[in-house]
Amino acid sequence: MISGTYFDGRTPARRAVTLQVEGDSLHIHGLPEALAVALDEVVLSEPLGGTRRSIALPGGARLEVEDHPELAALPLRSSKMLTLVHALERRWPLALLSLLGVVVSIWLLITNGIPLLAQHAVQLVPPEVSETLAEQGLATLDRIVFEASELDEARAQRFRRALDELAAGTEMDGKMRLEFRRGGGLGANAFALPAGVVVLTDELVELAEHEDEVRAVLAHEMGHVVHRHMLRRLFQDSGVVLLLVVLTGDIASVTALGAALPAVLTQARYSREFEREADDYAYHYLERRGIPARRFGDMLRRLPIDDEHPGDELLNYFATHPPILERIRE
Amino acid sequence: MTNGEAWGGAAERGPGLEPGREPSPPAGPEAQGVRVAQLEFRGRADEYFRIWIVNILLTILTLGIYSAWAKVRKRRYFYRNTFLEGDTFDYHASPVRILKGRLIAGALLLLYTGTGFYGLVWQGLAAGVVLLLLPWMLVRSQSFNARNSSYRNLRFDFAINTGGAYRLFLRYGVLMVFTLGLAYPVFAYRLREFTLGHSRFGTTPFRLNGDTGDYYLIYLKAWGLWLLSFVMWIVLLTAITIFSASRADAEPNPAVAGIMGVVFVYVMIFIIFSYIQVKTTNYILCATALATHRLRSTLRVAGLLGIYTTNLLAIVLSFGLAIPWASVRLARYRMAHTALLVRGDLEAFTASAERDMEATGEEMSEFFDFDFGF
Repeated sequence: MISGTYFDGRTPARRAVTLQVEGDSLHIHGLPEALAVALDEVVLSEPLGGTRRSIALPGGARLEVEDHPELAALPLRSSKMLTLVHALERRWPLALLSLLGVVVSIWLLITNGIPLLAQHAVQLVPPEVSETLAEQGLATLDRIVFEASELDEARAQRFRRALDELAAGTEMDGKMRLEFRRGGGLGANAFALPAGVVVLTDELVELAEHEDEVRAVLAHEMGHVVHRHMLRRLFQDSGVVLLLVVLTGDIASVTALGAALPAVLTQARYSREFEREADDYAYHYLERRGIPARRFGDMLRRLPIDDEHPGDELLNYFATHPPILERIRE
Repeated sequence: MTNGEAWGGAAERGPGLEPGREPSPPAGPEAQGVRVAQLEFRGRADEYFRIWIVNILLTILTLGIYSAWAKVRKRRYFYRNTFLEGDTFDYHASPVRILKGRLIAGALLLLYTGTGFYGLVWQGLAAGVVLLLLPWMLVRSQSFNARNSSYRNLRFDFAINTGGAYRLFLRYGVLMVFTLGLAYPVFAYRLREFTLGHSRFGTTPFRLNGDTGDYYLIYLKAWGLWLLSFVMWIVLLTAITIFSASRADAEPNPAVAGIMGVVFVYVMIFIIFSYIQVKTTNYILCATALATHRLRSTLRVAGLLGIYTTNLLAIVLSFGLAIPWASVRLARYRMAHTALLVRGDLEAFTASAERDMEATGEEMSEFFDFDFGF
């Protein structure tokens, strides 16, 4: 005998009943008229935490019963899959094992899965789209911060040739475009946009004491272009956000703010990886051309970067570029 | 769960109610016969943690497919632990239907992001399409959620009125454009009136007996708070500048001021968001009637702010592991401050008979019934 509550599904009236299985039917006692239902016509709801279970009867009525072990002994139909899931949820050791599984798989997704997916996804982006993105990016920067370049044409032409030389032999051969701008608030800086568009600020050119230093910077940006870093970053950053949305999805409201921090951290991590890759590209190029590698280091050292905190572990996680000293050492 | 508090005393003590602003209680001799049926959430953080972590693991292992089952499991856990008069709510949605809704929502999102690559015109067009679908999606997901929720095995319902939803969005959308957003509270109120007014328990409709003016006042106060905080900020900044100028060695650091400014704005948004949420929830629920019964909500701004702040801190410090604990205590707080004021018979509701009659017509509409929310 198991006690429960009977709800007819037509009104919210509750009736205390007892139930009992006899032969192949479920007998419900305590209603004005005795009720017996064939066992294969009733469905027992899946177990969920310590909540009550409900037994759906034909015609929309339901029985609600506390989830005690006697219930499991009854030959009632219930979702096998969710009963298995419940077995996983019920015990702490299994839950902690699940936690380990979650941590490992999130780590693998962030370090390998998402970057790998992004690498394949960028192959699908048609060239026109890359060009539109580059145009839009440049137009936005022009509107917000850039001003027209004041660099003399002869030098500009020399750097353009240098970039074309860099591209020679790669798949970007003849597709590179070098733009000069006055950096304004961005100061001495260089950018690699999709579709082979590289932007140098006048301030960077002025800061360089040797033209090879500018070449080294161009080689670094060429590294970004060849590895399609900008598009990959776009995909990876969206991937991380999507992952977090899927995982934490249902926490609405303000607590979702807490999810923004890990997104920022991983995105910064991706950015640093790309910078290292571009640095490597630059060093290899310098080596091939017989330009001393210190030219790049000299240039980096001269950049007025304010987040220079060697050894500060916490800040490292937030930084989008590897620490300058570390980059120079390499 | 119940105590014998009379209506009048309860309303006077309700700390969330603005004095003189609460919707007038039904006067008359029956007012004595009102009893407070308190809602209660009995979920446990440790139990929910295990459900939550298994949900995440299975979602990852199935590449997201299980997320629909996870959602049902989570919602069921919360519904089935919400008690009113000794019985619980329940949630009956089919995970397959939710998966379908998510796939459609995902496709829309992908479409929207994808058009971004082709230029602003296309993205604007895509945003326009999504905007056009918004009233329809709202009606559909309201209906989906209502029909799949029950209390004591009696389903809630939502009367589909797509034309009404479009008229509402059109009318107040235009009004908002012309008033530069100042009409937003009016729109928010009408939207709540629309969704509540079309919701039913069994066949009995909910009614909202509020007033747009009172609702607007909540936003006016919030905007005033916003303005006041900026004045305070400017005064504070000026004081700091004068103070540091008087000391020769200290030079004002613009970066520090900038960071402090950003933090200040975030804190203020946090406070004002909570203020609006608490005051509007209290107002709307207290103005809601279901047959002879009323709802009562007595959330406090300070209480909810405290919960939000500690929840946020715990989530960040625990790398997200405190999410289940945070959700459980938020639900517990909300339910502890919500009650049904029962007047008359709580069992005098009936289920819709249409359900059986419309069996064929339902098939078509069921095809479009899904839950969109991510």
